[in-house]
Amino acid sequence: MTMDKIEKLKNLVRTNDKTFWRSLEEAADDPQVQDYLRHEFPQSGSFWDGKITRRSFLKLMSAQIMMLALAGCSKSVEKIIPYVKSQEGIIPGKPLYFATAISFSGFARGVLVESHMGRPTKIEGNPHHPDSLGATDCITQAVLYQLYDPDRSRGILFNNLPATWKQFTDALAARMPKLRARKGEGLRFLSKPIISPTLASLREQILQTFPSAKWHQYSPIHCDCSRQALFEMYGQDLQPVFRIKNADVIVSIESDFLAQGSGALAYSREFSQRRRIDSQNLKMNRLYALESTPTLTGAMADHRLIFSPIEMRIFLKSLWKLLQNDSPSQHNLLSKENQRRVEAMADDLAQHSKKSLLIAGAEQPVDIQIMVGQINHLLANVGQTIDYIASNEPASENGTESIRTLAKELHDQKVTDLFVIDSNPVYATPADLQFNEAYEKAEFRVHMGLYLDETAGLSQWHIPSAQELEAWGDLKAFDGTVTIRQPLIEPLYNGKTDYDLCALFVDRGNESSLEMIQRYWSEKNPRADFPDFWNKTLHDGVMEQSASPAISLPAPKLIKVNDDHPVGPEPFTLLIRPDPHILDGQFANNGWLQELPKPLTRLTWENVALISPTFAQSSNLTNGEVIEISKNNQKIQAPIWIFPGQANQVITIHLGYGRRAAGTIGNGLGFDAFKIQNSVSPFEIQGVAVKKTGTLIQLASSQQHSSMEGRDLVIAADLSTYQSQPDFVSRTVSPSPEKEETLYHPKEHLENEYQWGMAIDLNLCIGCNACTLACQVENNIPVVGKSEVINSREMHWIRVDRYYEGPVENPQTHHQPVPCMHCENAPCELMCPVEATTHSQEGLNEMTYNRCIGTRYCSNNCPYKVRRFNFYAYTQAEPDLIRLARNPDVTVRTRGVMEKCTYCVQRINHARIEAREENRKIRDGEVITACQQVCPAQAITFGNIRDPQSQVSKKKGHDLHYGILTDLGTRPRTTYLAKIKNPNPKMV
Amino acid sequence: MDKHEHFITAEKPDYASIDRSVIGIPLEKGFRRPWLFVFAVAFPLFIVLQISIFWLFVKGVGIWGIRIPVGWGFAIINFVWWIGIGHAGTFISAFLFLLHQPWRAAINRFAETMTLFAVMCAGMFPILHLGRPQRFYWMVPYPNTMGLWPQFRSPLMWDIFAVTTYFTVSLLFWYTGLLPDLASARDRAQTYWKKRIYGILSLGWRGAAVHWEKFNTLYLLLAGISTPLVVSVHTVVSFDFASSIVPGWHTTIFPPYFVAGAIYSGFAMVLTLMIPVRKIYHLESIITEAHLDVMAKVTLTTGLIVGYGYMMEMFIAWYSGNLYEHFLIKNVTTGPYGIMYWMLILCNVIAVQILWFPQVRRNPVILFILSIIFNIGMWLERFVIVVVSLHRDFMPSAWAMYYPTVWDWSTYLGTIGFFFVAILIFVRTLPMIASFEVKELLTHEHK
Amino acid sequence: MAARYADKDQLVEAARLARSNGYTRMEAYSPFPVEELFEILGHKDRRLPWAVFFGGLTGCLAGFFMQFYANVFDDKLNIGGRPFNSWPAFIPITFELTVLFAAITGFVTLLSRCGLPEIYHPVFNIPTFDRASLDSFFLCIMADDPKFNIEEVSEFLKKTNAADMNRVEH
Repeated sequence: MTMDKIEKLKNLVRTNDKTFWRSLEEAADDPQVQDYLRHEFPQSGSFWDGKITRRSFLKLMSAQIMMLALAGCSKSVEKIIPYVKSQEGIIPGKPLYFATAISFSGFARGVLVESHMGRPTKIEGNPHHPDSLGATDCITQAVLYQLYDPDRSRGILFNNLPATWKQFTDALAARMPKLRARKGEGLRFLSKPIISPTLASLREQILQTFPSAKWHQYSPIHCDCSRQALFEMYGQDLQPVFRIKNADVIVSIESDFLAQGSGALAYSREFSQRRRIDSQNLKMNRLYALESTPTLTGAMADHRLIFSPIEMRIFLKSLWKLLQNDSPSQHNLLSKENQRRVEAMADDLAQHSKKSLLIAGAEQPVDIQIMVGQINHLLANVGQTIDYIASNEPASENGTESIRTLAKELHDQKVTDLFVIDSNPVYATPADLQFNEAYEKAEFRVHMGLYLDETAGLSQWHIPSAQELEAWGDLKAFDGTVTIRQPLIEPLYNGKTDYDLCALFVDRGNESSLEMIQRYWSEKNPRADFPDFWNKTLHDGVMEQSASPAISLPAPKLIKVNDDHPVGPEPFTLLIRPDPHILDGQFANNGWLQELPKPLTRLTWENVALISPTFAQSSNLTNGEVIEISKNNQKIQAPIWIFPGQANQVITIHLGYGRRAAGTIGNGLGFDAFKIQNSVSPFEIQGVAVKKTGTLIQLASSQQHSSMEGRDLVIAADLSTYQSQPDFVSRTVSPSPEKEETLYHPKEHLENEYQWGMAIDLNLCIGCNACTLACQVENNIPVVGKSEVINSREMHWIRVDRYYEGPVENPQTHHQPVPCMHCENAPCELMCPVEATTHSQEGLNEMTYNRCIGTRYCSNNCPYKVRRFNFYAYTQAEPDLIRLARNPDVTVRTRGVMEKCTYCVQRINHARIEAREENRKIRDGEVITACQQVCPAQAITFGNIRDPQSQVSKKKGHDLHYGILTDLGTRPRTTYLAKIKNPNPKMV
Repeated sequence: MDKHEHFITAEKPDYASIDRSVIGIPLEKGFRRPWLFVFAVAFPLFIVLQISIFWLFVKGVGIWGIRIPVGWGFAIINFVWWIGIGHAGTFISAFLFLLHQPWRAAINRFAETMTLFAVMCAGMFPILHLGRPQRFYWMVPYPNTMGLWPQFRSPLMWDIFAVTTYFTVSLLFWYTGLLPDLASARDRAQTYWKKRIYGILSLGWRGAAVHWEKFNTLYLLLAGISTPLVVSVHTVVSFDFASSIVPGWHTTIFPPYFVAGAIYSGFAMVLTLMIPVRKIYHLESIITEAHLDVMAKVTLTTGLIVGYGYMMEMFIAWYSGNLYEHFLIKNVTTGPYGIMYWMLILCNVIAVQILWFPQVRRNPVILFILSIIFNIGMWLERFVIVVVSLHRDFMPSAWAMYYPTVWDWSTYLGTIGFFFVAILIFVRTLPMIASFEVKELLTHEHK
Repeated sequence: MAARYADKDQLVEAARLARSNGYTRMEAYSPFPVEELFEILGHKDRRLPWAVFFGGLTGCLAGFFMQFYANVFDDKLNIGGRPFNSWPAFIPITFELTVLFAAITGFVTLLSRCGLPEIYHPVFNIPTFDRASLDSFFLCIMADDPKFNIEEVSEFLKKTNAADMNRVEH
């Protein structure tokens, strides 16, 4: 390409505004583009040479947008399909569902993606997939935002200059002979842990053709310690899979197995089946949580004990010794209470051998993992409540080790060619490796990723990779089940997959990733009917019998765990955890996730240093004050947040923030926790110095008050009180007036046969906020930004309230999702002067957006404060591309209009239309609201309360059932079931 | 105090001197220095109002400090405050007319004008505070193709009818009373244009006996229906709060308490305006100290009723035994906005007691300062009612603090600017005291 | 023929004399209302109060029926479970419209009964008439009075010590 064209293209790409054509060469000299422009704008024929004024530029770009937005979505670019002959299978208005999978670090989650006219608009769980069982968490929902993120990289860059794929393949081919000659010496690959069998086979082939090359697998979120511990115990490369359903007693050691990590959804589904209070529940399980920083699993625990990491080891060791019933050596180090507690817990576990389970968090060091493994073996749980399967990742190497060796080799300039696939080492590696300086020492640096992130900035070649929903692939779930990932849409920016890149090394460059995967699987299990097998796998989203079998193992080697513990000079311990929503920073530019309130702290748009209330009191810190945390020469500055339940001398910070090249949304949010991380013990740093800096930041929390102030909002009791008085709920809640107890004549309003209602079981709700985000995606709810969240104007239709009860040090935590109550005597409808909100014959409180003039009296009069208002034109401010993610069945609200949860009225209407077509009644469970569908614990039930057989009527008939604020006479249709705890009577 | 405690203290009481001093003002040439000074302050504020309204329509209601749960903020506080101020005028001209109070003659026109401009300021806010102000006409029951009616059960609908009715009736009442004076202004006017304008405005009023007979009957009837109207309008405004279920709003004391508060703040504003105008235009002989004394007495009585209202509000909240009301008492008195509440008590309950002393009631300077304090107190009362009840009600998870933004203040001060500009224009162009009533009073004096 | 008096009582005296003299078609002008004149000149009539009453009544019925029709017949919606005919909620608007219609009919009747707005009226031609709104009182005897003849009337008015007298051309 001539230099001036490149020059023009460079600034076009650099401006990164509304221009999003398919690829640069197409825009540059593709004849079709030229004559289209000449035809469309005859007077500006010499588009490229003429002076581009700002006005003409925008006018031309709008033509581009029109043409390309259409091309971007349809299956094939060149042919524009007239609707006279509609594509088979596409009925305008009727969505199609495709089974595919989303990969996370170390596991994949099978999903169904709803596609409207070839445009993916919603991600749902895949009921057949073992990890999802029909549910998803908030991150899986938010991957859709990443597909349409305007800040994604849009073209191949060579030294920050636009280039084409052909130029890259030629440059690589030029270096290939030298690499083959040197047998790949100096050739290094760095990728996330490989969970794709085809990619693993490609990796094998590359390492065969280049024997002295190395392939490093690293991700900041890894379970190296547990794999290393299992390797030391059993001598094989194993991976645990828990059977929570079989476990009566579970002890979670600093692990958030219900909400984070691989298999979280399956575990929370099984856990909730054992917590359900109804007839066919065999026996309610019991959960202990030993934690230094509160997690969602800790909030669900019947007993939550706070330990600093050192006390945790002592407690576990004495528990282990007690289970082997000999006297624990360091028992006296524990406080009196803890000694009684460890004895009570030991008895409880001993009684439930074969039916108990200990789970250590992925971030726990190797010695704790070994102790947990030994105790599990001691209690004969292996095979009952825990199975060990072969690890998903091909090579059993420790991720931190491999990145440390790569950094050392880079520093020693032993690496000539470095290929970074889908990871961001310059940002996401411990600071002591100084990866940013090391990275530039490699001669030929290629980065393949979704964003022009920190690593891409320093690379010679940057190739935009295809996003999860745009690429073929085969991925293993947490229990090894394989899913074939199928693309929903042609890659928006002509992104390449990691298969394409690896194929260049084994000169299979001409094969597409689909062919490679099909070839791999046809060789792996050759069968005559391979095409039907392939289509069935694509259709179900799961390859049957592909789960890796449980391995029967001999007794583990008994490993002595030493007693001494390094106590640092400074009293403070720093715990580093991946952010519950942004993980290791890959979702930093995701507006939905940034605005989703973090679990338990309810903060948004920020990461903070969590400290305990006593520590805050002693050094009189208030929320938002910035402290400086330092260890040796690494130091960071972080605002603090007082966190009830946090261990006293322990500070917790989260990764994923402080990014410099995440995109317009992600840049400059929070502080970079990697700066203080060291590769020796990445998640726990002893002896950290803390200093006040005196500055104060305003944090955007979506809930400012966390005590219930004596109102009957969440009702909780122990199992014993429930068993002795089953109707304790109706006695505590003040009675609400009966329907007939009124001066009016209630029969006046005719009600048809469907009366919609919802029951939320607080006993099962984990507080993971998946429902909040699913509702945001389903109902086109805009992101409002940090300053508006500070003004408490966030737009989520369902908010999960978190209440604390009991002592500030270690309070009981209750979660309560609050959608709209759809009250029968709605106080909001009475106040609207223009009848913008009325009551339907099916019991829905309807909101007519185009009638609303925005007096906001309905929101003032709503006792539950569930109504949200468009103070500004939030939806217009969203970038154009994100509008493609919108659900076409839901109106997008403008400025000045009130909005609220509508019980997903568009889904009710879909079901009614289908029922009417097949002239039958709407079956129970046919209408599933977005929050109900996504809830891993199935805590939300929705249905027709007039039909006594429906699930929701059974729940509403339950004696734990109650409504909130019913004494106001609003008669809410959304009601709750009380929360029951199952404490160990011996444990105080 | 005898019935006519010399409300006219002119040395040589004759019609001409009254006429010259009252009708003369609008006809004089040029502007007086104090008039220009106040105008120089008020007009820039009026410009600020226009800028804030422009910016509000461009960006949306988000520029104000309102949020969820505090959906209403300065807009509604100012609306209630202004409409409260507006009630003194009609109260004086209607209710006191029925009671044959002689002292109302000197001040009723001025108070009625103040009512009209206050209602204009108040009328702006229900439209400005809408999310989509361009659709305000949907609140009017006009026949439409959508087959939709406004929702008549909503207190905001009652508001619309109440404020428009109140404005129309006050306008008619004011204009009827103004006719004779316009006629005398027409007769006194020298320049060509003043004759024409006043002539047209006075609709050819000749002072004929048949005119006066009809005038008297109508004036009596209008006074008769305006008195309940005054009470009903501010009751409807109090229904905006009383008919909701928000703790702190849902109390039965609101209607009488709001009406008393309205008259109280209305009289305070009349005093605030009357004392300087009386000084500048040397009307001490017509608006005598006796007037100030009587007005201060009315302010004292209504202030005591308002104080009773506060006490009753707290007592009923405590007495009801309702959990949310108990919390409300604690939150109002000791919560984050506690200082507002105690300043309110200081202004409206403690400061009023000074009016028991006659020498204070007759001293214009102290009375002027006190009247400003009373109006600040009333504004604080509306702030405490609107914001404190909303920011912490039923669900603790939705509690949040409310902070006004610069645009809140600019709109509020802007309306004050607009109000004073309007008053100044009125004082300069129309006779501000009903001269025929004063003359009538004069004839009675001498009998 | 119009006569000007400097004092209210003189006017009343003159009017009473004229009345006893048999003149019926008379009119008096004064800067403020003089109650005694109304019987003498026979202007008392009950038309205005009735008009205001019926105006208010129509306002009341119109207000209530508008709301009743809107909520019970035309736009039947379930608002917060409240009945369609929630008459207690209709009362404030009914009252407001009553007052509004009463006031408007009252004002309109005043203008129509007084023949206003009539910018030009022959009586303005009296040179000193501008004092009618200042401090003097006028009595004017119309030409179409059955007993009217110019000399007799001017004679009579002189006797009532009028300040000055002048003819008023139509």
